[in-house]
Amino acid sequence: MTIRPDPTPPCDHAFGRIQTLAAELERLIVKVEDPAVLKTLRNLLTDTLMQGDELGAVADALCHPGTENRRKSRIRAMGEVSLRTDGSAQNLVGRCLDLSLGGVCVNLDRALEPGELWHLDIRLYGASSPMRIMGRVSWCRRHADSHNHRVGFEFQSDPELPDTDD
Amino acid sequence: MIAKHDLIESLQDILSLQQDLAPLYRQLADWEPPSDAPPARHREFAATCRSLEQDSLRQAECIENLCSSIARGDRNDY
Repeated sequence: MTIRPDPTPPCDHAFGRIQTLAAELERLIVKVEDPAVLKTLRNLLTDTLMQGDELGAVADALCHPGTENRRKSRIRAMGEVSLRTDGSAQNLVGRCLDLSLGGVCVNLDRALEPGELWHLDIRLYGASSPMRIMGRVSWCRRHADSHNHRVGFEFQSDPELPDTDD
Repeated sequence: MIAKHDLIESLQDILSLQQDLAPLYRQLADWEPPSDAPPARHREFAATCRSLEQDSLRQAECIENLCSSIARGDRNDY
């Protein structure tokens, strides 16, 4: 039997560091009130999360070259996602990593089962109101060095876009 | 509100984490994939990791500057 070499780049340590760094920045942000310091810390947090997303995207492209077209259709979209299921008081909060017309990728501190249906309230940074939509879990991957998971949702209907002043 | 001393201490912890990232990105940029990995995708991966290394160094410099500025300031609370 031939064992093929693993094409996955060893990113787990870097992902773990990125998650720890983001968590430390988030912990500090809630304590600081000075606007100038707060702005710098928020910029650092956004840059850190985007670095993680960028590393994940090129690592995915290297491991799964066939996903290139799907990847191009996605955009980075930073924000918060609230998740709930029908008939349950359970409410989760995650971080939006990227968004496309067909779905969204969310960073969560727990795993979700593929096939589950969730109501998603996606509040992008800078948007005045959330985008509400039903999403089905299509995949879930755990970061090896942390308790966080990247969860891919496929939208089940057209999103209710937030109102704008335009 | 956070005391100046605690803010500087937290920023130094964050700086230490940030400084750990640059060499990790460098290691990833130098990583040799299996011979059947698509060369274009590997070039993209390595170039992105080098770019992330530079971003990480810039972020570390930004945190150092913020620390210095806060240490020099007269305020005790932030």
